[in-house]
Amino acid sequence: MSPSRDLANHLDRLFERATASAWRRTGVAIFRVVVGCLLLLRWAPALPGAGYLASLGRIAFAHGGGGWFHAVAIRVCASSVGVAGLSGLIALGGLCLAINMRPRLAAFVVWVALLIVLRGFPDLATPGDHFIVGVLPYLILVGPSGRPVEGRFWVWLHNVAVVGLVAQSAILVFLGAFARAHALSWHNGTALYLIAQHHQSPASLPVQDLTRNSVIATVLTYSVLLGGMWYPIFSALGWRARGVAVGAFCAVQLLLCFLPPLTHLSLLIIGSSSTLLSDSHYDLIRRAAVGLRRHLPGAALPRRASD
Amino acid sequence: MLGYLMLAMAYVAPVNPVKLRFHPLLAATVGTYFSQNWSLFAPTPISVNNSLLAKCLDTADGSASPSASGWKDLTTPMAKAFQQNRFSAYDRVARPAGNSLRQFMSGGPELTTWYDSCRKGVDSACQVFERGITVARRPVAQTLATIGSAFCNARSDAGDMRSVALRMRVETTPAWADRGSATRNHHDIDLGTYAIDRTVVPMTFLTP
Repeated sequence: MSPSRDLANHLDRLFERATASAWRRTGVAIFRVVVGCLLLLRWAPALPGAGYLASLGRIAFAHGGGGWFHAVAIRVCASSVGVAGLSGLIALGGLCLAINMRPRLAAFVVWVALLIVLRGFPDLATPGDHFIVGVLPYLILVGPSGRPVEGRFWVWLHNVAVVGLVAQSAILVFLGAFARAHALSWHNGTALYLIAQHHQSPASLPVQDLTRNSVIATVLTYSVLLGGMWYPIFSALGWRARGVAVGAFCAVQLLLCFLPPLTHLSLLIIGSSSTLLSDSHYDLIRRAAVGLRRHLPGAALPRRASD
Repeated sequence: MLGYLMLAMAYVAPVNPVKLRFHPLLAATVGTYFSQNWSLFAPTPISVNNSLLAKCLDTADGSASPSASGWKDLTTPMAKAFQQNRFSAYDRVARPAGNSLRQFMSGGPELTTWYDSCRKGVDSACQVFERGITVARRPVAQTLATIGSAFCNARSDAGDMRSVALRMRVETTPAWADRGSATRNHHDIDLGTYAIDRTVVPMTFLTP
């Protein structure tokens, strides 16, 4: 068989696989809920401050900038109605994403609104918003949860978006870790101690005390660094190893959630990690959860009584 | 999609020859329509806490030198409130002040990587940084003055106040060796005195 024919057969098989069934539906659904909840909870409370924030947005407007999109964005962010409208739209879009109501349209609206904020008033956006704006184009394309994705084209589109979502998340997480890799505090294992001392972190947090412990601070710092650098490799691991690696990575991120400067970013990274697992992983988790419930003392008794 | 992925990767990557070569293209594409900043806690976590302090004055030009007392910390109460409720907007509302203070020192997140590379001796990065810092500092003072005006306009005696003095408090984190110590060192940097802008919405919302 000639190499060109071999390649054509390979591409045929790949296309067949990409159009046969929608991939990673549970992981995508989890990620969408996480993104939606964070958008809702982090933008709705900003509504009362719209007037004050627009006063600051007006400064960007006064200094102007290049390009029609920039001009539109700074004009919107310079008015109270504009800032309130953007905050409201993002919060509403977040709600729709969280409850799976017209999720593609909601993702599109939130994406455009966030792009306007990032362009017109970048100081208003948190690091989590930067992450979200990078992955939203893929959430516009993936199929909604709760009903099957029908039609070969829509299945293919969903799967292409899933691949893009995983790749984009991997780029962001990897490059974040890559940038840290040469810094002294990440090398000497004290980076998380420094982050825990940020004035957003209350002194009474148990995790802040943990970061003062030599062994825990070092292990945790290295875990974050190495986890980020290995993140793109997770997708290439086998079924079992991938489950273990993603589980361990998420456990470390869950611990970081207790540090206020990292809470939202860690939740988002946990959400994006959920797309690394296949639907069969979630089937296993579901079966394990059901099995565990059967073994719980309270849950088993009524069943026996009815038998 | 592949093109977008490659452009995004180049945009968020550290300064390298490819990024330098394609900087105009990256700024015009990802920088304009898909702006992303992935520099938080990278490479080095912030080891100082910056706070914005304000004091309303009844003189127009700030000629009466502000005394040591009477300064109000505008940002730390927001941070404390955010500790109490992680899913609130306190950090978002306080973010312009915090970013402006950082921007005053480093030129902002878009210039940070150029600043770091410049310090390491990359001449071309220095040129990009020098061009950027001049432009970046221009609106910073105006932003800080607006925040100060919002604070003074919310006071009950707002009508008597004519200018606002601003300070940045820099609190350094105890070094690892001193991690058991409860005391934190700080120093203040005067940012100047500015006329109060009466059109700014008073800072009465979300007051912790």
